[in-house]
Amino acid sequence: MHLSRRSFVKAGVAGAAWIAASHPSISLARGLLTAPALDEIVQRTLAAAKRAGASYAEVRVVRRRGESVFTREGGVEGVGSSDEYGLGVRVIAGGAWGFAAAPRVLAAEGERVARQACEVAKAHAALRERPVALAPTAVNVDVWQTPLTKDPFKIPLEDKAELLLAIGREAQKVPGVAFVTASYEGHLEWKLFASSEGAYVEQQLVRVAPGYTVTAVDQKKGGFASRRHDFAPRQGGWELVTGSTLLADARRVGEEAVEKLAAPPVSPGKRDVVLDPSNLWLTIHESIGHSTELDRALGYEANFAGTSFATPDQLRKLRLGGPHLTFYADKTTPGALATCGYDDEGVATTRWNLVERGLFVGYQTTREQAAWIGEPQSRGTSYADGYASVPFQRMPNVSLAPGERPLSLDDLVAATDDGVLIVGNGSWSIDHQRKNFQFGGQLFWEIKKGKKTRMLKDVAYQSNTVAFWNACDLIGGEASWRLGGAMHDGKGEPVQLNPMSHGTPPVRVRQVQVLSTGRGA
Amino acid sequence: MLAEAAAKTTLARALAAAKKEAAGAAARGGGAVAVQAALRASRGGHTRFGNSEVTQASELERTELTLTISLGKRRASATTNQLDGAGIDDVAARAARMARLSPESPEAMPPLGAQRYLAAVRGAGGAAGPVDAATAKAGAALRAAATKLALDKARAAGVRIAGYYEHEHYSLSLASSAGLWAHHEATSARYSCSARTPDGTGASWAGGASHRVSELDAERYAETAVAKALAAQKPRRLDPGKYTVILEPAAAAALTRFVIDSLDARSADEGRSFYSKPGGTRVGEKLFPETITVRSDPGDFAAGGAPFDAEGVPQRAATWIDKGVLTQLPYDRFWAQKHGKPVSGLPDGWSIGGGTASRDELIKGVSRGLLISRFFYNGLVDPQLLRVSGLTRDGVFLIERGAIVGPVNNFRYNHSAAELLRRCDGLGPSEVVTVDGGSRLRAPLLRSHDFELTSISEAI
Repeated sequence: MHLSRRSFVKAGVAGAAWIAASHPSISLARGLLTAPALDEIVQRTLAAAKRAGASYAEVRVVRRRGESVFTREGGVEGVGSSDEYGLGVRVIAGGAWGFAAAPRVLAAEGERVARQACEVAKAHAALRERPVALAPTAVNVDVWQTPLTKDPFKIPLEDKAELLLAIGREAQKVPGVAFVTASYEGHLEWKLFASSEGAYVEQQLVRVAPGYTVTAVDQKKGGFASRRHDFAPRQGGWELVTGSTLLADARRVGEEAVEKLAAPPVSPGKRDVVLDPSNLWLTIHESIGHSTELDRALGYEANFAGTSFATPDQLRKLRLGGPHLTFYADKTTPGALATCGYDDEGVATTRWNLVERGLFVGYQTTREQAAWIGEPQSRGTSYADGYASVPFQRMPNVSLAPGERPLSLDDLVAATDDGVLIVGNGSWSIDHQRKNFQFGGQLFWEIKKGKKTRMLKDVAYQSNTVAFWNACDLIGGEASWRLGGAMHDGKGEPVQLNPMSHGTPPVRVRQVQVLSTGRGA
Repeated sequence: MLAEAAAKTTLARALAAAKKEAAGAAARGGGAVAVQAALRASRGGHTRFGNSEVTQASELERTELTLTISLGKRRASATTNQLDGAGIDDVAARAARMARLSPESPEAMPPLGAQRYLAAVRGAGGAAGPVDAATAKAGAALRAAATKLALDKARAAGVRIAGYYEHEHYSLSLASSAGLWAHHEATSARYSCSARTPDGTGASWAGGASHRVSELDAERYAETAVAKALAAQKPRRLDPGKYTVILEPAAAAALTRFVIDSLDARSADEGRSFYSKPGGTRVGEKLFPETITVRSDPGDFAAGGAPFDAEGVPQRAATWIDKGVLTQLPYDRFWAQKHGKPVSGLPDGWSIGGGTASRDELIKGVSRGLLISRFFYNGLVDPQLLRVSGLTRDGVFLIERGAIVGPVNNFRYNHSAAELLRRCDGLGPSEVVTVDGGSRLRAPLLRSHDFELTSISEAI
């Protein structure tokens, strides 16, 4: 695919007459880059969908590039580069959705795929209880791209491998460290979205995800312990990697793995837990993020991912914490993984509250879903993980707003008489209505009389979403707020993977069930 | 899907491009040139429904060409889905550039040369082969008909239903500069549905997977899901604790998967596996009762068996746990060479051998216990113990004095997958199920004791 400054060729393109009369002028865009040939493919595809009976059509041309490096101790295990390009068409025909996709971005293929999408829709139309209806949205014509300083795809491969190998060398200097695996992933997502309503949005997102795990092994006793670095993947360039403390932390991470191997297991029971942002982001993801997906709440994901305790009848009634807890969703936080200008239905991204001062107030929605709860507009959370994937509701960034008091993690520890401090993510599991959960961690410290006393191991905390957040009594201030995130969150059948971030301060939660998960548990 | 001749043409073109690029890179400072190529292609479709409404219906075509170029010990892989001349030239140039820039990989293995694959499972065709004609031809009409059955039965029973039907015809072709040629075509299909009662107190799941759509009984799955949701309605409260459990195949597969996934010689040798012991591995030890046998079979197409793995390593039917004894562990090519062992590659077509007991017979032998339909969000908590935590869903039924007495609430469990098998005392027939939305596995109805349910899950 060739990218060049695009001249917006509209007049004379087949099917252009069908484009909404209110199609905005290209002068409103900030500088689209799409090649004219690609624009012709898009317009012919949309026109073919109309001729085949679509009442609505959208085409997405998507290119996804990836680069990966894996090292193991002193050597490179694998180096990879991926590039995928294709075209997907989604239509409404006969009141039902239809989708088809092909890896050849050509006008004739676009037209064929558009017809196929309409046939698929019509084959299912008689099964619809009610025709698909979309909430209105502004007809956006725009371009958006990840702000970055250093394009990670232009950084020499040796630099990436050398960083990982240097991390391995540093960690292996620690006596007792047996293995170090390190990895780097870079992802580029370029997509052009055009709809029969006239939306025309081009976006380019870049994400980087380095990481490593150090393992200490006790061959005599037969035990081992691993410690994974807490670096959170982000949207941005190579500057996020070079500006990180990944290498500087390697020895400490190695020492922590060795210390963890020798640490005593936790004594199970009800304890206060102090959760570092590197642990808590995943708890927010699972308990607040997934539970406020409207499709889940209404049973649309019941066959696989499950449903939700946060049903619409609970809106503005259910308390998910005290007035110090506000969870918000957004696709606008700079550097967060789900941030972009527009979702995959061309809806401009925004920020809104899911839980406001402890009260459940909002859902994540798409254009089809907004009317299901009487909302006039989509929240802009549609996403498809490639050209051949059907767009559907996916989680944006979901974060816990910092507290008003300027408390730090140390302040939370100091305020705790008898508890456990948990850092990083270990195992995780939550039920299919997002109530009963159990989370592990990477590192655990006993807290006695306001002080970290000794490291523990084999710790997990188990609770119920509503009880857990209502037992959260202390949260850190703005300076303690950190982004965590997941590159590959799965949802749907077939499973699609979605990246998103979760910002949070550290919190304290009172009297949570702490489990010992190791031998003798 | 690409037929063998078309795949051969594309891969010949790709190997030629890769060799040319690799030679150029070698001239600028590389080592001995070797090239391998893998081509995956698929065509298929899916239909989703939820809340008794069709939500997605698609027809998809995908391709992926991966070129791996080795310059001595330097090696890199690049993929593309663009199979025209420009796409192939681009991926070859990328692979060569990255290989030249890569640091040496101490574990790099040369590409495989010509291999002998089991004739019975090689290639396409035949009623007994991995390609099922009806599945290859399946489309929106078949899926819509299955969906209609589910929607109609749910409507008649006054429940809501969700489900998913997918089918695919795919091929994997491999070639290398050392003379490797491998081509495998297969079909796959899976269908499942979940019903929920309007009061939100009863939920269920039913489904299956195979390489043949004819083996997916959409009507039976819908009937089972509807009936089970109604039977699971208004569960009584039961305390957590240790229970005798009968796991339906979907539940048994979700846990025993961890026993299979941990079968790996290297991690066992390195002391970081359930199969490790101080100073060595547990090969030769009797880990489970005699009824437990774990096999992989490239000829078990319904369970995803194939004649070779992704690298082209030939697959043979193998027994890994024989009557409870760990007999061997799989070796990848590097670890096999290092230790002078035969290469196993990555086997597929896994099964945990079933027994002959019927469901009723297994239930009759339980004085007090639980019948568990399915597990959810199963996460490894301790890899050395194979301790897993997850939750029950879609129907838990109390058994008293050899009979089901009614539905009970869901639970979180914290239990070792190895302990589950160690305490197994009854097996029913196996069936193919999909695990975690992906790979297929043949797993039995399984009874075990002292299963640790650690807290109540209020989820329905």
